[in-house]
Amino acid sequence: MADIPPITGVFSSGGVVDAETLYKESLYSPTDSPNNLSSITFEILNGGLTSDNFVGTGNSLKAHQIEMGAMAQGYYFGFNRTDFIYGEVFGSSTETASGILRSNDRIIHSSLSCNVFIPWDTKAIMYGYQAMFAQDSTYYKDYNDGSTTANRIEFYDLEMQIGNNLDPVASSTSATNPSLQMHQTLPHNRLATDVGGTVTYSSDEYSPIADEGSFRYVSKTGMISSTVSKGYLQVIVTVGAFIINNDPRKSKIKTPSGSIWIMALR
Amino acid sequence: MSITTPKSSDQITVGSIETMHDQTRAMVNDLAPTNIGRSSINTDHLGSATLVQAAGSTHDLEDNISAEVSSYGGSNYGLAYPSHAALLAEITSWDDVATATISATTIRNGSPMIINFSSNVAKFLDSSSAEVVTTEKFMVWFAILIERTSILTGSSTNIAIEEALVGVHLQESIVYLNDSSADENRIGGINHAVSYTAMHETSGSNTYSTIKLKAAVCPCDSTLVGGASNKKVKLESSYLNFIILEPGS
Repeated sequence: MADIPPITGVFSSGGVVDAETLYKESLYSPTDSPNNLSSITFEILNGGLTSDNFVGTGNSLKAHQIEMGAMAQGYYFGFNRTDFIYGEVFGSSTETASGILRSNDRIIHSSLSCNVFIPWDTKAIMYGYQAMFAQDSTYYKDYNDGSTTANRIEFYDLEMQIGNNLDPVASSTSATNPSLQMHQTLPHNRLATDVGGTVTYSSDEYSPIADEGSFRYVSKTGMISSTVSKGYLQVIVTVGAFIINNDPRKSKIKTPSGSIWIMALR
Repeated sequence: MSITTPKSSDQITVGSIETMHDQTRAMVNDLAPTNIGRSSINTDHLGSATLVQAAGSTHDLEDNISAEVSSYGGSNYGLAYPSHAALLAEITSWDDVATATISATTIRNGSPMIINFSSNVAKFLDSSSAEVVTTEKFMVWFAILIERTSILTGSSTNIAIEEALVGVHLQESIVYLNDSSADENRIGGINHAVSYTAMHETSGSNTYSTIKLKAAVCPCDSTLVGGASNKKVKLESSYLNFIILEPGS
């Protein structure tokens, strides 16, 4: 209710106009909120009007009359200069979580991460990333580590996490932080047997050119389907790897272009 | 409407002030929407949306898909549908990848339902679910099926979200994996990411029950026409979630 009432009879008897009453009853009485007004004056023109003040067919508004960000706010960052991460920065620890083989040694992809300020409590958050990845990882046929011989498949993998709980395994069954659901393995694309035959542990003959057909354009979208309190919110993509032998010196994952985005709904 | 302001020679009286106040408040109390300035309406005036329900499937991290699109085996070997009814019948027979339950019994007509899914087409499998190398061309199709019933008749009014039909061409199967004299060396290496977000506007004359992510294998090789391919694909990291919002107060 923001209708301004008449001021008939507010001045003292004798017809004397006094400034204090004029201000208090008509021109300016500080108020706290349009929904909690004790004395409605023209001060409501400073952002305090409500739907009661408006008339007209349909009472419809144009989009430009609503302040940007009042219903939803978003963030987008895109890049097109190549981001390099070398195999040497990773360990070779892996685990199987919920049936999915993933790397335990993860680092944050600096170009596909952001820390966004959300100015109000949300009803839902949509987020995602898309990027082109060019990776070097090798399939070893009959790989001999000095004691046993087995097939070994190197890989890089990606995960996306959002919110302050960034433990990817603990959150794997959480609908609000579905990092394992956002897991993506990138395929191996070098075949050691193409050039070096059977590769032994110390062999350096394992680096044919990566097959471009196994480079991947990855697009992932997700939603936080619950209320998130206002404040800073982390959104990160992490990269993991399983790279063995001397390969880490040469193996790398490149990201020639990509983007990350988030949209919060109020 | 104009406001009568006093002339410089007039005496300001209680009556003239009351008149000016009344004329001004008459304008402020009945503002036409066209007179509202740019960016005038903000969070102080607008309520937030009401979250009717938010849910997802959380344990469908691995799945083997063996269903094939129905046109396979005939003279065509892709996915073809002439109408929404045909598409609905098509995807209903596909495998369930993930299922999310809608528990909200009443949803206001016209509320936005945002549905999101993501998956990784990881591997080719043979009929016994062992990982294999395949030399033919394949796609995998994903679709969103919304299951609901008519409040009036109680009959099924299921729908497919047509624009959310997503196909993934597994080019690895022939470009990368086939060119070898020892196919067993080339196993793996599929790993195609799939993700999509779609919106459905709810109908107040229906009771909603479930949202399903469906998928089927689609042979795209003319050599496969007329017979079963007996190929499966293994999906990893599949999930489906949704939110239903209603306009706020």
